[in-house]
Amino acid sequence: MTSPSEQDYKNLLAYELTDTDEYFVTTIINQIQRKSKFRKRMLALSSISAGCAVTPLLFFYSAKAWHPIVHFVTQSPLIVASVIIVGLMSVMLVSSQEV
Amino acid sequence: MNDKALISRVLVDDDHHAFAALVRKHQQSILHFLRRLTGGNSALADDIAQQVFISAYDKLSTFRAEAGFNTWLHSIAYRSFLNEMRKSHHHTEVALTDDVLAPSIRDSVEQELLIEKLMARLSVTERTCMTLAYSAGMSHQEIVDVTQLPLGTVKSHINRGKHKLTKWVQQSQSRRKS
Repeated sequence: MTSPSEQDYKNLLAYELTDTDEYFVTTIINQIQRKSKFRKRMLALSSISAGCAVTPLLFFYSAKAWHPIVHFVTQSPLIVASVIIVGLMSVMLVSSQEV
Repeated sequence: MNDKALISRVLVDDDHHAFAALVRKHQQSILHFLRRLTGGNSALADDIAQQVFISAYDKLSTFRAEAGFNTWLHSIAYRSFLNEMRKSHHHTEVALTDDVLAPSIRDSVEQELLIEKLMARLSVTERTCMTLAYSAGMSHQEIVDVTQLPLGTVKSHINRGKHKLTKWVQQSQSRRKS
């Protein structure tokens, strides 16, 4: 018995390519769009949060009056701790989010 | 429009239609490749294929045109398949029973099922190298790019795979005759 040629293997293992599965394409594009939307929202939220944090700092910096911030941190450690914990939890939630 | 033009449209304009065109163009080869790797498990192959294209979209900026886009997609598919196997401890190998050998090759569907079953008996690397070489029509160098295996190892996997397949197909044919 003769051993099979390379072409024999190609014929044996050839894929039978069928038509494009549009449902498959749509599913992927929908997932990508959802991911993009999610990223845009997160970016907008981060920008707003950063803006809210930086604006008072800039205000106090320009007024050369740091004592309200120092006062807030020292007098309200519970609020500061809560803000930090909520912030960390949000970051963890966002980073673990499967879209 | 060729792959490079579509990729640049995705990267520059975040054009989802261009990415859909890439998916349309390559989905069949990736799906078939994964079906072979999973031993004909179409549901698992479809799931992995979805992950492959989403992952390709996320990593598209890292794509270097040294290898073709198709080769790059196959390498993502191969890694995704290995990860899936590690996670779920899937075993795609099947025993060479009468059930495997019995079907006569009457039409292309039955032949495809038989080939998938025979391929599932090869080791994962043999199956991968054989599929890439003979089904996807890749060169040995492209298979090296996909699998990250040394060239000599790829060649020996292909030779072993060919030897085993030939033996099984001959067994199958002699069973049918008797």
